[in-house]
Amino acid sequence: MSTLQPARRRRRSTPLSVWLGAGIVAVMAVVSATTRLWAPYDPDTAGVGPPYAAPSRDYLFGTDRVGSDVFSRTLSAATTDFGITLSAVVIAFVIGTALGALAGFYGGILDTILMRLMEIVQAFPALLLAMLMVAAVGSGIVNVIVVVSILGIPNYVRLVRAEILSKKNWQFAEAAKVIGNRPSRVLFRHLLPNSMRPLIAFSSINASWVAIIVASLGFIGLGIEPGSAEWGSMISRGQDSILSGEWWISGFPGIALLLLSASFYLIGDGLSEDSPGSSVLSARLLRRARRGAATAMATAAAARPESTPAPDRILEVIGFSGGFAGPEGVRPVLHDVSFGLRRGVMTAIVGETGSGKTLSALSIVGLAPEGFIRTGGQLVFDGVDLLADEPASYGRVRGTRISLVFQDARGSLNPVFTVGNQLIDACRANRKVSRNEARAIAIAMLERVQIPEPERRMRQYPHEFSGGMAQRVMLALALISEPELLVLDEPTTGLDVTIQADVMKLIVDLVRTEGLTACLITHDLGVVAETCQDVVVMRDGRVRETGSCQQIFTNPQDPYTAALLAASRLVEAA
Amino acid sequence: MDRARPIAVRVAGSLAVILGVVTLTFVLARIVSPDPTNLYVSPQADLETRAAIRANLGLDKSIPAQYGQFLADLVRGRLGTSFSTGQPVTSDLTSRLPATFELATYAVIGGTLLGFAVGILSAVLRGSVLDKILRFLTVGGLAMPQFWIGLMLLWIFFVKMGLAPGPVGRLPIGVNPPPRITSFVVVDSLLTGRFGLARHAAAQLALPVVTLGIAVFAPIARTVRSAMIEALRADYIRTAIAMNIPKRTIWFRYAFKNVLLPVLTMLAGVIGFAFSGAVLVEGIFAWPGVGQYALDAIQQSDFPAIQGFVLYAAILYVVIYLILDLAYSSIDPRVRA
Repeated sequence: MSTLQPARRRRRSTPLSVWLGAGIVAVMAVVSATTRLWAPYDPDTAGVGPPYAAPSRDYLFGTDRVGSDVFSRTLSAATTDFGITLSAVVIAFVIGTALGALAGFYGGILDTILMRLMEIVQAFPALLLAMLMVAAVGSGIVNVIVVVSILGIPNYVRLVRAEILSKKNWQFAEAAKVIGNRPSRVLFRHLLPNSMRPLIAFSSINASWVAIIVASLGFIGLGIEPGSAEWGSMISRGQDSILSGEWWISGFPGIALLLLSASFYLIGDGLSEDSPGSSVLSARLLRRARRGAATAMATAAAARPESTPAPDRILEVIGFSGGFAGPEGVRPVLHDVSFGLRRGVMTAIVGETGSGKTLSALSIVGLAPEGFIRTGGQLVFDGVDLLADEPASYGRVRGTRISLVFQDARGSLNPVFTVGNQLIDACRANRKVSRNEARAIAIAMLERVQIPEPERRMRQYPHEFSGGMAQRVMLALALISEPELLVLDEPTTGLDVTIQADVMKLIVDLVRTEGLTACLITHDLGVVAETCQDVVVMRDGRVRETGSCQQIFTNPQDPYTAALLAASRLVEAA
Repeated sequence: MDRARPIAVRVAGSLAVILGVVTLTFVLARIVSPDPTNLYVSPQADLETRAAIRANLGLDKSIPAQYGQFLADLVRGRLGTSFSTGQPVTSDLTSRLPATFELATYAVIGGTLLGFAVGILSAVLRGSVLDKILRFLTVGGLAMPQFWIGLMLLWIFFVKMGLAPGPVGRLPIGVNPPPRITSFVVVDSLLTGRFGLARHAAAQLALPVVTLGIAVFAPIARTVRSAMIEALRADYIRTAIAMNIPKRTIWFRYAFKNVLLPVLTMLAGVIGFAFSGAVLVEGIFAWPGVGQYALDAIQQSDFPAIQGFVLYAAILYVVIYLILDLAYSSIDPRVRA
């Protein structure tokens, strides 16, 4: 867990698509504000050219039935469509956010009534409701703006309400309340600003949709005053000409509309995508960093003398280094990590949060988080360097010969499959057995990890298990493939203290009776002293000291180890 | 008993929504035209004729009384008579539903399948050139106005290339439909062995189905992609990889079932849109479905027809979301508890 955080904290780069979209929107905004400068002809005058003239140098986008210049009209329409879209989104944003915040924050009857109303509005086909309302209040720019913003409001109400509900009980909100802020201040100064990013992302997607609805109204003649330049009504005007081949009358306004709608969409889509590594920019960074690391490793490998692993060690980690991709190449987090795991022995990797212990352990099976880049080293498992032909080498050992027990057992089990299903799948992926045999093995396995009523439990889902029971399932899952090496990543963190002891005792028993090699990642020195024979001490991505448990506890060589021991004794004494 | 209560609450809530929708339509209808008498008689008609018609329509009563009458009729399934067709709205709607259903069924099935395929491919190959191309197409599909796509498809495939027939509805002009069995023209033609007719009908369907299919495909592909990416990043997928579960099982079983949940919500919305008669698509292709009926009704202030259509759309919405809830609980064990 600890070592995963740097990955999450990485700089949130704005995807290229957002800039692209914003650029087009900005250009459109400028154009629609200064139409008169660009339009070669008066957009509203008929007969500036011959009717139905194809696009040419004189009439860039051609002319329509009455000989108006399609280019000038398309530009002029930008003012209308862009203006209506922007106004409608701003109105819907302000009103919807206010209503949603009130409903989410105060709840009660207000919330119930509001949500029912919103549901009614949303039960209408959107375009139809827009058409009905415009028919009711009459056409015209202002009416269209009002109608389209009313349609947008329910979305904002729902979004903001959900955001507020999810953050209402967050610590910072509670803290703001405790130090005496008025509720309204908590809402507007503390809660809403924290919900802004999804809101702005949504507004942008909403704008994309609004632009289309506005044009649709224009298309069926319910929009603004007939005859005035608006993309939808222009497309409608050219509808009949399409069938006789004059595509440009409808074609160009449509392209303009598509451009505006797509740009808004790109902004919203890019902003709502929160994942690092998914954007164009960071994908490029990753690739560059990986290339750099590969060349560095090739040079290092050529210089390194051939090492002969000790035969009593099942796994040897030699000079393992790596880091996370950043703008300036790889930011190192693991430095020349080396240690070995003796066969049939339980080895502890200890260290504080951020020491690189979990990252090292996950790297053993090639499960380091996305964005981690290896810059050097070897992982020799049973005489074979796993890194020499990854990922194929992992396929041969992962699950089959090396198993993992993860920290958060309930999150690590698939929520929509029964525990039995997952056990059977894991068994059959690694052992040549029939489904029925796998079933029997799974039940026996649950019994081994001391889960009562295993047959009934097989049919249950992960959410029906307590934390301790889920961790036992996780253990059964890891052992069902009969591995040689078991890596346990803080297996008892997050469990109740009494249950921690039970689970730990079970792990030690299983490891001992099976004759497994185990690697326990923990920060609990008490547990280490009771269960492990070998210890690896890590800090800041470096191995500070390795040795037998007895030697580390009685005669620490490294000052950090000594400090760690002193601290844990203090805790025990207290 | 425990299971019945939440369902009863749900149904009551759904009825409340339907009531709200028809009430809103009633109000809007009365705002648009407080006195629809003019729609029935010529402007020259004398006052007595007008009064008679008004009384006949119940327009001489107070607005609350009219509303009460309207609800009473509604409960008895009487939706009134369309001003423009002169037929009962119920029979107008039922005669137009098959056209909408045929178009929507193919568009939803095709769009959904393609959406899933593209979304999953895009997620699995995230960051690749193919992913970028697919995302570009998806954004295009989301940002393109339906009516414009339809027109451009007509220009390319009908006018320029001559591959598709013109926008004249379900069958070419002058061609008689097959005997009614399922009311799906293509299916009925095949069932009665009229393969030429089936080809005609399929050709008429092609462009409208593609146009509407894009509106189904794009949001599904987008939702599938982002849900799949999120699922693939989850801890339980890491466990599955650690346990050496084959990649295909991980993608198509372990991640996929978790992807279904967010996608189902989107799918419900899209199905509602398609089956309530994509108004503009039907308009452009002269498709004789309920969407075009609604479009005509609004342009002619034909209130009974509008009311009928809105009621149909609201019931459709409510039913789809009820089914969605049931589907949810059958996929997600946490909802069942």
